[in-house]
Amino acid sequence: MTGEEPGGSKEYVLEGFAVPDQLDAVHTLLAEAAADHPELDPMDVMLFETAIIEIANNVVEYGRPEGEVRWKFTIRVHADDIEAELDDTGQTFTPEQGKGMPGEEAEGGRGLPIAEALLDRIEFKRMDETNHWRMVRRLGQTPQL
Amino acid sequence: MSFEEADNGAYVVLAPEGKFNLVAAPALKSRIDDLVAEGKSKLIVDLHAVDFIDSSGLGALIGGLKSARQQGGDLRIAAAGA
Repeated sequence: MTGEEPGGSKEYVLEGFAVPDQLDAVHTLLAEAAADHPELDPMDVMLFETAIIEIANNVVEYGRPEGEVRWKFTIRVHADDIEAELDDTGQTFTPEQGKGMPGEEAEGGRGLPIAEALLDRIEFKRMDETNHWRMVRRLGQTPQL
Repeated sequence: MSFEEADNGAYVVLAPEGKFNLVAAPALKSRIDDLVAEGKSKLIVDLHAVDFIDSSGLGALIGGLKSARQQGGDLRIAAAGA
């Protein structure tokens, strides 16, 4: 599903249940946005994809009641950045932002730190019984390897 | 997600395909644990057919590495980004 936002650029929207099978739909949504914006650097798209999937994983994995949480993903491509908003109906919680990477032998705990490393802005707030994430990556900032 | 497996005697190659993510990682980690329990602790994870990996996939690789090393073996990754 797509629509027009007030500024005139296209929105890419996914609504449904936050369940493992829907993670593919998030990849597809971003692929659709990227296909419409060939000017996007594939590295930006790949890093943004990694970040938003990590946040999506958190909702799928920890959102309760399990299997009943609904979410809405919205992706927008702007001239200077790419933005995703994620609303979910899971329980309230406080993300541990700014915690840094766990030890190198840790088997978990990297999702949010990876997202934070790849995004320029990551905001979380709880309002109206909904968790709201906003994720922004500025474009064209990728260092040359 | 499916993965191919080839036992070459000295080592076992596991080759996941597609997205090595929250959905796929537990199955691969479980298979690694089974192989290590059978005494097959020299493992190669061939990533040539993986087009996306998340922290769950990374966690499974680290967990598998630890399991293998605890039994005197090792886990190596091959063809990442190929």
